[in-house]
Amino acid sequence: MQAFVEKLQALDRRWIYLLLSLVLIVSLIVGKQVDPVVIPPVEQLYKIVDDTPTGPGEGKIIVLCTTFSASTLGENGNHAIALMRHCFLKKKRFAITAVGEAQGALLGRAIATQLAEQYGAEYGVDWIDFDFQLNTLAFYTSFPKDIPGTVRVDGVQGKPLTSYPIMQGIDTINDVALLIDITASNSVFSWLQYVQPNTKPRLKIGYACTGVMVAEAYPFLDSGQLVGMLPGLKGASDYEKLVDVIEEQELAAGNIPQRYEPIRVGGMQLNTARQLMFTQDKAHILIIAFIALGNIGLFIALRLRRRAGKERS
Amino acid sequence: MANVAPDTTVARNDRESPVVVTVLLGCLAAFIILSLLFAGKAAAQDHWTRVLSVVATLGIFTILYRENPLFRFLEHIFIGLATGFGVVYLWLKVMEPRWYIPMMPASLVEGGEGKWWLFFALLFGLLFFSVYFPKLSWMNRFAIGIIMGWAAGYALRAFVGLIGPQITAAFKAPITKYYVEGLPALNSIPMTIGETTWWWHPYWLISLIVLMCVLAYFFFSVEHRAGWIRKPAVAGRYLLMLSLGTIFGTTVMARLSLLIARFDIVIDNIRDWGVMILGKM
Repeated sequence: MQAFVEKLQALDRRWIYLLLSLVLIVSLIVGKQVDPVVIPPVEQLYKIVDDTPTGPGEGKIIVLCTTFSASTLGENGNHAIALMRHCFLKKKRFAITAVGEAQGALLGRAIATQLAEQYGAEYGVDWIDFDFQLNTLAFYTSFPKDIPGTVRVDGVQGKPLTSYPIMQGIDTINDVALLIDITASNSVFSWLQYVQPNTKPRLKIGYACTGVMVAEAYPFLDSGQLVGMLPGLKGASDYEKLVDVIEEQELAAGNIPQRYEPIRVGGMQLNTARQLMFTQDKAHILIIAFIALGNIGLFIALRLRRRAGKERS
Repeated sequence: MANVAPDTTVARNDRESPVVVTVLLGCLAAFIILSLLFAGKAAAQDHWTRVLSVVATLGIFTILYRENPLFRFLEHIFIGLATGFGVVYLWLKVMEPRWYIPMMPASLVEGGEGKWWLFFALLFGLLFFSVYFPKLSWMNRFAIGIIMGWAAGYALRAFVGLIGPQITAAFKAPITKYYVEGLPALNSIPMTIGETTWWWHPYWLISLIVLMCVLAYFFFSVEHRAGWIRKPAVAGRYLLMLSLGTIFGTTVMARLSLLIARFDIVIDNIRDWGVMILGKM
């Protein structure tokens, strides 16, 4: 027993990596979709996107900040896909921009272009690309006052923003019904600090963040500074479930030509968040088992050592 | 008796053997040549990108086994590429359209606006580099001073904008005369006292208790000996541990998501190649 416990305590960490890899590979190959219970912050954001007056002729737009890089595609990529699918399905007009993250501009554009093709949306009418913007104080002060003047040209065709139908009547931050920051960084705090306090009524800000940022963001949700949140992969899979329901309805009504097909970004296929969540569940079970095993081993070792000490004395 | 896991990392040695250096530089040359050959050919470029993503992912993962030259090679390529990409992107998307083209006259640059005064922005920017010349280093204080002053003024305003609503939100009465929507498990509970209906909000009570306990832990003006301060302070410490545990848990969850996404990409590509080679299974 003692020998086994000692071996367990001194287990080479590479065995743990190997076991975890095996679990991930097997569950990815099996690849089932989970049916998650939607958590309140996700439902809140979904309702707000649904209720925004951003349809054709309603005069406002949603701004989606795709401020993430390829390293967090698993989480943020799926957030962006779910949110854009919702906008395309419900004819909510939106703009994408990446503040301070060059890769985000390319990734956001790649995702939006492919989804627009699938849902038959038109560039410049249903959505527009505000391209990469510098993450500076100057941007956060000038963008709210003059959107076409700050962004100047779009990221797809390089034409002045005012030449697009979607931008007619969109001048200041008051014409933005909702801003959602899809990010792996704390860039949302710049919007909360520099932009939101100067808007009346208060600019609605949503947050689609990686799991690391979740705990830090909850107080802002509680205070109403954030109107909703997609926390990590769980948030993406919950939102995806809600969007899948609309998609089925739209498909049955004949409003869309096809169901969503997983897209490719830079040669990489992005599987659905609900599929990835299945794998995440299995990995969590394994990690919990490791924690339990490690703690049991530690307690047994302590007890054996104490017993050995008593016998010696 | 050794109850410590063996250290699988080896002290980093940046001096590679000549054979390894030759092989890796050969790989880099092949990488550049193939990238140039495939440029503009969409299908070939897509396959090439996929091969690279799988090789780079697996190569970076080799660090999990032990420190090795392949990992270092890929690490340097990644940093070099990211820096190069950043510089070019910044010039093409920011400096050129927002500074260079507007500054130049239309006779020299297409779309030029002849705003010659924008040239002073370059001089201002160059002040930062005066730090490398001891005799001129005092000049960088102008640039730093202006930027720091501007940022400090804004930071104060931003702090109020960010924290103000947080302070307001922290003041929550556990019993109110109005209904407040809560989370499903512990919603607002009605209590009728006399003819008036009051609403009890368990979440707000918990929030208040946690706030007071954690504040007690950080309140050092009184020695934590007497029970009235020691007990809440100890509770505050455990509550802090609980919240730090939550942060750690979500961090593990996030890292796993990223790992799963990388594995997913590798498996998808390998599966596609299998189908290509063996035909549809």
